[in-house]
Amino acid sequence: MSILEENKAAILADIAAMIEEVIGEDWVQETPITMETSFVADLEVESIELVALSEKIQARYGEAVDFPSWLSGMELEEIIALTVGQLVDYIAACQSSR
Amino acid sequence: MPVESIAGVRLHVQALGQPRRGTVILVHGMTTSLASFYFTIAPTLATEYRVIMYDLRGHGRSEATPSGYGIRSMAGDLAAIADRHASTGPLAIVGHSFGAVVGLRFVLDHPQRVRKLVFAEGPLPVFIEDEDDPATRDGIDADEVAESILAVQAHAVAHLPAATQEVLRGTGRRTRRVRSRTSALMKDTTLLTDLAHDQDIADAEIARCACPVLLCYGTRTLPAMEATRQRLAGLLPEVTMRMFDCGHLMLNEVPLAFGAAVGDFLRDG
Repeated sequence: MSILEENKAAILADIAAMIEEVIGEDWVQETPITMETSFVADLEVESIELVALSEKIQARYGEAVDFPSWLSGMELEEIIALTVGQLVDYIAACQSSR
Repeated sequence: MPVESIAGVRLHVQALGQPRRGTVILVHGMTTSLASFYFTIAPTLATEYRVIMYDLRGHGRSEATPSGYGIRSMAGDLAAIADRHASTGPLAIVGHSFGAVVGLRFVLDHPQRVRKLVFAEGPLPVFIEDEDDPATRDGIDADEVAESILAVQAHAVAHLPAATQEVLRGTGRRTRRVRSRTSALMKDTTLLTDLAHDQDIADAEIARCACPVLLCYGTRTLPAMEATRQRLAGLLPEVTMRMFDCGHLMLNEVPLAFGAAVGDFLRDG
């Protein structure tokens, strides 16, 4: 794996752990969270849970990653189609542009 | 953080941005949460203002108190939030749907506190009496309030693409949880009877509103909202009107256009 790929794998592991904490239901742990996992269709995440996820992302990655601003630039259809992989890619891009 | 005890009620509060030009408090509508702002207009506003969002009692991560869901009580919660988080400097309020009504009540109760109000897609009275139903001719009852809430929810998504509606209606965990929370709010609290008794603001009071108001409505909104828009446009002393190509869910359908209008209105003057 390249350094970038290793970094993304680490971010994915972080995000997956945060999602499990936020959602806190057993069935999520039985469903592996991958880059292709959709927040709405697969995880059935509520928007208020995304706020809790946003807090965790800020605590972990700091000001460099602005999750609310990133989502606020999206259309409703884009948010509905949002995958964990898109979030991982966004965080990796924020880190590499610092 | 971020659940705080405010005036004896545990309320979920989130803040974004720095108070370069003052504070803006955002008040969400019934059966939603502060998330409706957090991922839409709040980040852009936060580049200029300290943005405070909170979940109304009984909503999101705030405490579901047994009672206290009428307009005056909800405006009291807003006043307590303002005391805690915006005690100094210029303050503006942005409310959507029922949150707009709560914002207007707060502005009327505290005319010195607020410099501007954005009233988006608000219904006033909050619920419409059915003139044909003898049981409600002398006032709205709790069943009618419940029916109205469900009717607004159904109307709000009816014009969206079929695939979007399907996702929003859903059948999974998210939809079940939202439904069970809404149902608990209606059955386990006095929300319905509170609103049946405190759901309007008198014309004479509205006509005394001291601050400039931006009225924002969707061209595809419900008739009750359209009636409110006309009523307020005729009563408010200093009013600006903006229409958007959307239904009741203005924050989700046209977040960029609505956010820009709010930014312009708060910046002017």
